[in-house]
Amino acid sequence: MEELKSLFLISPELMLFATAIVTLLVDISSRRRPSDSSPRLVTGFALLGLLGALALSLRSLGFAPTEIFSRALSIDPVSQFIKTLLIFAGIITVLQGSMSREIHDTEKGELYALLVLGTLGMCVMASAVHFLLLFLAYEMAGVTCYVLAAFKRRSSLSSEAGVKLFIHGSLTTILFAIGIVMLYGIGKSFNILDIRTQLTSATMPTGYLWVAFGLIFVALAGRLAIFPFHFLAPDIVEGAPSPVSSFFSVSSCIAGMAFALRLCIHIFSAKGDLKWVHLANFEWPDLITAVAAVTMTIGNLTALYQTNLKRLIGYSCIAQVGYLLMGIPVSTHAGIAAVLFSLGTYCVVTLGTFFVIQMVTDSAGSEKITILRGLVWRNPYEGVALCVFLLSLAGLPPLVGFVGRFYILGVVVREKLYWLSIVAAINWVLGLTYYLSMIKQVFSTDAGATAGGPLTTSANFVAKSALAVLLLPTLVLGIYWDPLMNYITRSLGAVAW
Amino acid sequence: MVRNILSAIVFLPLLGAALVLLISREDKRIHRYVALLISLITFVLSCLLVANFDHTAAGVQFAENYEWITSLKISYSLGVDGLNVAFIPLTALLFLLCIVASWDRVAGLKGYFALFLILETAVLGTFAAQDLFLLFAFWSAALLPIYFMVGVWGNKNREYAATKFFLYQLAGSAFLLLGMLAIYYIAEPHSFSLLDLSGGKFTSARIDIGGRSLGVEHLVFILMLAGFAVRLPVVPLHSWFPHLQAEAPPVLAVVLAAIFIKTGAYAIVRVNYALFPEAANWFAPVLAVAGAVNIIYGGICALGQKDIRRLVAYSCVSHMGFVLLGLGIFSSTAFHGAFLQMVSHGVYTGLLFFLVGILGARSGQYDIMNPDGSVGFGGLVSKAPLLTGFFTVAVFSTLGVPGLGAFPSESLVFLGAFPYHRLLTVIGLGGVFLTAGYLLWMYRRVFLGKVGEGAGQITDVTLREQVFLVPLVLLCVFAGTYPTPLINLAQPTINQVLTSLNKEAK
Repeated sequence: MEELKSLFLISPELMLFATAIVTLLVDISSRRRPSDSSPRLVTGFALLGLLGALALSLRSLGFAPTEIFSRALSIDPVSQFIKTLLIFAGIITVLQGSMSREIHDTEKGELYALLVLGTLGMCVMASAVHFLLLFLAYEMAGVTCYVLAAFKRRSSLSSEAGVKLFIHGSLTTILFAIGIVMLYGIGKSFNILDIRTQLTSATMPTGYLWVAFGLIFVALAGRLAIFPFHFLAPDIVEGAPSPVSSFFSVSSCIAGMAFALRLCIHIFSAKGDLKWVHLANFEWPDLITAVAAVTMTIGNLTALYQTNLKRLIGYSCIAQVGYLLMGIPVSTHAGIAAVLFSLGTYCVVTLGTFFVIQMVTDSAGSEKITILRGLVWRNPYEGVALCVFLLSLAGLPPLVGFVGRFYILGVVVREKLYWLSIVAAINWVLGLTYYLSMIKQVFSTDAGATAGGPLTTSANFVAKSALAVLLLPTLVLGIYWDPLMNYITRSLGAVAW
Repeated sequence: MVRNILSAIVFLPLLGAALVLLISREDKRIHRYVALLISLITFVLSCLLVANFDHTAAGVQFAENYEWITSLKISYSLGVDGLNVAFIPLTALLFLLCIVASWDRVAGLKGYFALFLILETAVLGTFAAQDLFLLFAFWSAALLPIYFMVGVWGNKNREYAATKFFLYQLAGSAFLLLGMLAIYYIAEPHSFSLLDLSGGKFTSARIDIGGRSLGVEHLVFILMLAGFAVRLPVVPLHSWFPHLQAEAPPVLAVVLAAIFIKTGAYAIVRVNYALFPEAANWFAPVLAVAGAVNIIYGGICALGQKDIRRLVAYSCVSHMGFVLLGLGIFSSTAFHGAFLQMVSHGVYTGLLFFLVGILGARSGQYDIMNPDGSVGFGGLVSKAPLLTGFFTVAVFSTLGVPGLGAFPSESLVFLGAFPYHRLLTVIGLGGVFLTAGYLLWMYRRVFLGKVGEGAGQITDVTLREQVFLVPLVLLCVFAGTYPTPLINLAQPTINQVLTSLNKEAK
């Protein structure tokens, strides 16, 4: 009976698993007798399954926090919130996949299955409180990413991205494993809860903790694309087909952030009243604040010099993750709530950006920033949508990106990290520079700006409504975000960790 | 009186923008009718607001207070008092006249009017907001329509000017945001309400930075002042302004010079002076000096301009210096002068930029002097006597000739400043001579002398143009001869602000 209830609690994950299998089966069977409708059939099954998973995970948002399967998975409002974001991102990336011109129709079934499996791995990552399970989920997400990055087989850039990711991934996996073993030495258990109990009850040698934390942090840095492993991300975002770029920049970052919360808050901090208390002899926040400051500055400065559209967005994502990271060392409820809120906005807005960028790059057959020229005159809806997303990423009121930025900056100021708040403010202005350089192209009225004609991948009804679904929260949550923020704050009060 | 008249005034233009966007592309003319109608209603409502304004009371009137974001105690709170009541109808009037002025536009009507109306909401909201967060939101939201209007419909160098403008302003907003967050978390209970925060609550608060204990009040005063000063624009943060004015569509340039930059000066009083009276006393001399620097620097720069738009833009920089000088001296006379100057400057600069726009639209160029030394226009008085007449009024209003535009306000500033800062007053008076220098130099080359090359196509003012020019001329005369009603509107609130400021004086 207990197991049945546990299965019910992981229904979104089960649904994802079923979706992956069914998509593959439908793909294989439709290959025997190919017809015009078969790609649509495969897409339909994948989307239907994902929508089902989204419904299940939305339903699970209200579940009381529990730990299931011998305390291996923690089902709590925060993990379910992150899963919802991941599944939402999965839906949009699958939609992007169905529209993509970089991927042949016959390969789309595999693409969907991989995207769904990657999402599944990341969902487990968000919930796992047992290191073996966390490691497996980390690997599952990682392996799908390697394959996905190299999905455009005929492109050398794509293969290069896959190989780079693979080599880097294998290295960090080993370091991650060593880190886990070191923590096992402390807790005599792979269970995160046991390790934390041990860490908070007895004083451990600081050097030992730094090494263990550092090793796991390396694994995390690779996944989140933060300094010092930020340089990989733009290569992958540029080389991989666009749906994968968006999967890598959004889903992977969400999962990485869940992992970061797990590592910093759930293992290396003790529970306190409305905040988490850092271990007495181990000041990991110093490291994270420094990394956050360096990450956003490097991301923004490098983005200034990019001429490739996808690469530029790749660098801007690095900067965005840098902003998000600022909220973690604060480790108050308000700080983590700010991170989760911004994570949600980052998810929606970045997906929207990639969604439009894919239409444009597919249509133009190029990835130069100049292909955006005059987009708004050719395709007003898509052009305006792209500008809204970019301005939201830039963090301008009254768009949702500003709200997240405002909360994060707020907790940073509140915790008296003044130097960090100044760095963030400078980066705010730096970031605007390159977002404006894209918007400038979109609104360009130069001669020839409108010569390209409307996008040939001109959006059908599904794409237009998907864009509307992404636009709506960007606009509405920028003006009234109280319900979402209240939900997140309440969830944080409820979580056991 | 209608309870939510202020909200109606602020958000009607936004509604108009939505309407303009929703109307289908086919019938192009309908957009301008919608824009005209909406801005007209807004203006009428704002007149009603002033008519019902009790000018004997100092406190906030027509207040609206609704909870907005409860988790941060952000309220949707609007209200008018003596500081901002004059700017609401002025803004509404200028936007209305600007829409009349863009009547014969052909290209991009839909986006143009929609953005213009959005800008109106943002500017009106900035003036009416009584909550710091709300003020900041309107303040920053105003940047977007301006950026897009300049970037799309501006002149040759539009993209550079628009980007420069946006980056300068966003840097200002970043300062503002930091200051805002700092005081939000220092104030107990946390609040963004200007009323809750005002009255010297931060005088004793201190923060530690790098081991040194610093007074919050002084630090945040400077942070927020930096944010507002970029918009004012205070030298040396001004360089976006002449660029923007030279590239902006003529009608937008009117709004920018006449009303947009006033939000900076207004916000200094509304936020900085109300929240940090002690720091205001401490910093006021610097503001007064900055005002004098603005007057002289702007004037000298204007002397060197060959482009008529840049010349007038630098004249704005110079004339905003009078406002700053007045605000830097806590005497009732100077303060009233500063406020009067903000309003009357809105009127005569609006007129001047309208006329510059008409000149440019007729001749397709703005150069007073060509590179080869010949005059760009010349002898317009014989070709377009009415235009010359309007221009004469605008120029003499800017000069501060008695009975027109700037005369009472500048006199008040000087009268108020003289007992406190003799040297600065004398320097400021020098600015009046500079104004006479560059304006008369420009006037002679454009309107007098031989008919030049660029003057060829210039026809006289049409009836429609008279429709939007005549009200401003009348207002110039009104502000120059009988400013008492304007002063009466502001007096109780200004006296209250001064009392609280002088209480902190040592």
